Amino acid sequence: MALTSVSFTISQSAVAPAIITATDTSEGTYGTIASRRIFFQTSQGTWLTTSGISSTSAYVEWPLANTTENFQVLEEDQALAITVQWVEADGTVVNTLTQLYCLSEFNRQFFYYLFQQQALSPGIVQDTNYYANLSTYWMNIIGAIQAVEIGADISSSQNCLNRATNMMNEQAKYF
Amino acid sequence: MPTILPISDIIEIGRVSTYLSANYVAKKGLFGGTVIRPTPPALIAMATDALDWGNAGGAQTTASLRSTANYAYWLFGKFQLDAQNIISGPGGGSVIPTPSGGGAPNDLDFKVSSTSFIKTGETSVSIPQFIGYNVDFSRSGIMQNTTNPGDGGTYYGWNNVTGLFELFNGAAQDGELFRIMVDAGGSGSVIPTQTYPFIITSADFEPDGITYNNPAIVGDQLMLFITGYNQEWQFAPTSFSYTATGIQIDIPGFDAANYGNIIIQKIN
Repeated sequence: MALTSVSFTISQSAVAPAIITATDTSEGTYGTIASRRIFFQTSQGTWLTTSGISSTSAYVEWPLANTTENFQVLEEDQALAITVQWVEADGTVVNTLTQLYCLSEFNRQFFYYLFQQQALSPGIVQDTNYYANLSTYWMNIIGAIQAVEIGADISSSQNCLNRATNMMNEQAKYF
Repeated sequence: MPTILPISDIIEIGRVSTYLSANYVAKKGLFGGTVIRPTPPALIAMATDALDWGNAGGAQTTASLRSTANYAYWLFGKFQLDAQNIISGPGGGSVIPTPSGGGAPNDLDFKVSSTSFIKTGETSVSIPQFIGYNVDFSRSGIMQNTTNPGDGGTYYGWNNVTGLFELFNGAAQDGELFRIMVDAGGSGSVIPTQTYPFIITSADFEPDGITYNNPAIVGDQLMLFITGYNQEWQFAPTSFSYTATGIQIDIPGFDAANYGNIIIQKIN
């Protein structure tokens, strides 16, 4: 017996945005499959691992016993091509699946924080610079999400995320 | 007790308010006239997304979400009630019509179906536009009572404070003819016109000491002066929030019984 279909889901924790949670939703039985490998490839062609960024292909082991696993690989929002391999004990790859994701919780939660502060000073929206920067920030988050969901383009998505992340890191200047 | 809208409902109201605001601004620009404090649709969309992301992530506290949701609800402005009706009512393009020049809302007259105002199988619906009025109800041409007839026959319930309309002893059946009529005279009461400023006391509050219900102030932007609290006017969402039936004081530990008169003034 073997897997009849392979699939997985990815989510980013809003409480701890550095963590990516992967869940194996494959159907069938594992048969000779002994382990999983998960690759987090960026749009720049590097790979994220739990021990840092690698310039060559690198993966993180995902034990078969854990249907759901947390991987702390993020330092900021990323648009990633995430690949999962189901492998036998000798390393032979049995199944492979790659999916694209825009992981934007760092920026989404900061956007919420901006509105939380705005609620305390509603008149700030009359400030032209603030309102323009707020709109730009929001547009970049939305653009990043749609670049992956609609365009399947992690490079464009990452460009939007980078602009948003820069505004978040320079919040004193923009907001 | 008044019902406070769940966060998820406010998010949905925001989605609908976005295009309502966009159409309103476009129409005012096309036909001229003053655009009276409509919140820009982009700002409504941003506020809705912010609330959605904060609510979905699980990283924000309940108090924070409620405070932000109240602010977002205030931002939606004049589109709140229309949006609520579109979401819970017959659908886009068919809000409960209000006669030009004001006055009581028009009656609701429809045949029950899978898409009607009260759908097949449903037993209740919210009608915020009818708050403050009594209603009469006819189904399949037969006038209904609000008293249980005792013989298993159908009757209805109507709460003119919360806007909850309920069917008893019989859910809506496909093909039935329903007519929900506003009783603007007779034994009913219309929404009174509120004159500002006006003064309330602790006796006007609900037993919880923080909730004040008054359909006449719903939709108005207000400021409060609480005698004995401090020497400043209080504004939403910092000190109080708007509810479907009035206002709720959000000052920690507040109890109206501990303070004197409260002056309520309209901002716009």
